[in-house]
Amino acid sequence: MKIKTQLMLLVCCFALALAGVVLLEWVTETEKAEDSVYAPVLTTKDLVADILPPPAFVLEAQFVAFDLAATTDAAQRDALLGKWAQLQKDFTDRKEFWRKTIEAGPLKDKLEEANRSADEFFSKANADFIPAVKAGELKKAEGLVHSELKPLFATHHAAIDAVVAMSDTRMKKQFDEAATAVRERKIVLASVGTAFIALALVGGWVLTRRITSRLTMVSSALEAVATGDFTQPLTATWKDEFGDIARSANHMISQVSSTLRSVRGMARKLTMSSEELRSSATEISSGAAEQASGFEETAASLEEITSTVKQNSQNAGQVTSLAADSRQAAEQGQNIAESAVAAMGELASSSKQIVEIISTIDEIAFQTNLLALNAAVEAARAGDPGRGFAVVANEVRNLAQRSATAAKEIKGLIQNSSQRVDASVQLVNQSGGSLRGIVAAVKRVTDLMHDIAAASKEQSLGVDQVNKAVTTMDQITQRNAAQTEELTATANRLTDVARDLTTAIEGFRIDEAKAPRTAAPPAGAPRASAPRVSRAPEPMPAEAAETGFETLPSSVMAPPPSSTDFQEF
Amino acid sequence: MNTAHAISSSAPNLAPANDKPNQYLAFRVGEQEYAIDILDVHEIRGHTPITVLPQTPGFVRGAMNLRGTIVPVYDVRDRFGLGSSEYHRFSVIIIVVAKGRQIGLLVDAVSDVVDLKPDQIKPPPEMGVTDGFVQALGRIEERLLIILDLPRIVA
Repeated sequence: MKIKTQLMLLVCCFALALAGVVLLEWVTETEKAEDSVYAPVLTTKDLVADILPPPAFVLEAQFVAFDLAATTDAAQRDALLGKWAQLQKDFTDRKEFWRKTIEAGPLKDKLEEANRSADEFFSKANADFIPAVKAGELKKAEGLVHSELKPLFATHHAAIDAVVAMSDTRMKKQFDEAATAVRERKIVLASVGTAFIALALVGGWVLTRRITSRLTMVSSALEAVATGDFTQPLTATWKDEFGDIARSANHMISQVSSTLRSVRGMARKLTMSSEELRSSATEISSGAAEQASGFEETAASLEEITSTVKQNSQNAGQVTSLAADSRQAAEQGQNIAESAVAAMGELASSSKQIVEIISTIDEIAFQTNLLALNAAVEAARAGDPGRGFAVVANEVRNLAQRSATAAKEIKGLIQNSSQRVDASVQLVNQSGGSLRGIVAAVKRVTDLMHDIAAASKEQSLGVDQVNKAVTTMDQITQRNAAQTEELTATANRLTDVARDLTTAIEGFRIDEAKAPRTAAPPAGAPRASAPRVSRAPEPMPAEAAETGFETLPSSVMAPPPSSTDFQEF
Repeated sequence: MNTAHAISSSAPNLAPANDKPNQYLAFRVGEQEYAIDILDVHEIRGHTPITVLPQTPGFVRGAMNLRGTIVPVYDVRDRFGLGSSEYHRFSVIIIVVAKGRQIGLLVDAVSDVVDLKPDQIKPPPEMGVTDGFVQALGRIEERLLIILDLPRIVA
């Protein structure tokens, strides 16, 4: 039975006992009026109390009748008649009341009898007496009173008396019965109450003992667990709440055991991982050192590049100035060439003029020749007389030929000179072309030099930027190195923590029957996870969590049959 | 046409009877020098404007105005079938008198007036041309002059 039920029963016992006591007290109180035991008594008393006046009603009616028979005053008579009517009405009301109230029985029959007689009284009176009174026949009225009313009243009165007597008897009987009932009730309540009290006391003692003992057992078992011994489960055979506690405690112990096992595994993993972390940090550190030296080399190379770029700029500047000089010289040369060409042009034009003059001379010679020939012809035609003329003509022809020859020679010379001039002009043109080419080349060189200068500037800027970047990276590397040291320190701390954790866990004694099963996965997992960790440290903690947690369900879901500790209900 | 037709006081044809040298006017057409009797020559003119006449044989270049007289101009080169001559300012037109008419002969140049002794004149070689232009061949040292039969040329 559950403690709850027992407690409830105990409380009920106490409650009932208390109820009993209260009832007892109450029953005692009901010796006084208004409870069902005494109600009939009181009713009967009321009846008696009421009956007596009802004869009084009728009695009073009787008196009213006497008064009516006696009175002569009309007003008084009316008042009395009113009263008579009232009395009759009251009687009827009360009659109905009691007819309803009293239970069937001899008392009721007797009451009916009394009422019948009263009704008879009233009806008789109403039939005969009252009209007489109203008619003023007092004597008659008086006579009726004596003859009719009085006997009826006497009958009624006797019945009433009988009712009263009966009521009294009844009352007494009822009273006795009530008293007896009360007494009996009291006894019952007292005994019941006593019984309940006894039951409550006994039950309380038993319950207390049980609760205390079980609590003690549970407490001592939990104390054992508190010392770190997780191998002793609680007895879980009780069927009540303590049994539940014990079973729950066992459950908790097994859960905690598994958790501790997994924690142990995790502590081991943590140790390994922190070791690996430390080695990774060391690697990073050395890598950072290499990087730093690399940056130094880069910085040195950049300085060389910078100086080279500067030199380039300077050389470019020199070249530019040289090019400018060359250009000036070339332009001068060009000017000179142009002047030469112009001079030669003038020479050529004067030669042309000479040629024209020569051709004129040639023409003159030619014409002279013709003339001479004509003269010779005429001289021949003239025969002898023309001989002298023929000689003259001959001489003229010679002259003309000499002119022609001279002209030819001059022409030849002019042609020569012309040719030479042409050649010179060509040469000068060529040189002019060459100079132009030089000027153009110089311009190109200058432009190239400008480009080179601009490129050098950009190069400089670029080198500056690279320098800056290298400096930044160097700083970052240094920060990395510092952080790696911190990392190493953290790894060390982690190792310490892992060690502390392991030590803390070692304090617990855990069911070793499960240890090999759960030890295997962690032992296996490190082998598998070690290479993985060296490649990527991140997955490791999750993996540790996995293998740690996977032992938990296995231990909870499949209790080993070898262990008899956990016996569930 | 007429083999014996000669200008009035024309030169000896083959072998003059006397040893007196005759004067010839030598001129050049193309590469070859030719000669005609000086007495046939009326005048030697230089370049003169020539009016081209239609419906004339090819070798007739046209006509020129010689002091009021219209003189036809023959292109000698063309007459010899050697093509047309250029007509430039050093061209020469020899005005000859043939058959009582004045004819202009367009030649390339006039050389000189030469004396040819009879022994310097040779007959032309037989070439089967009976009425050719060549009358004789004259030789002065190394110069070979083709003496022309003027009437035949201007016919």
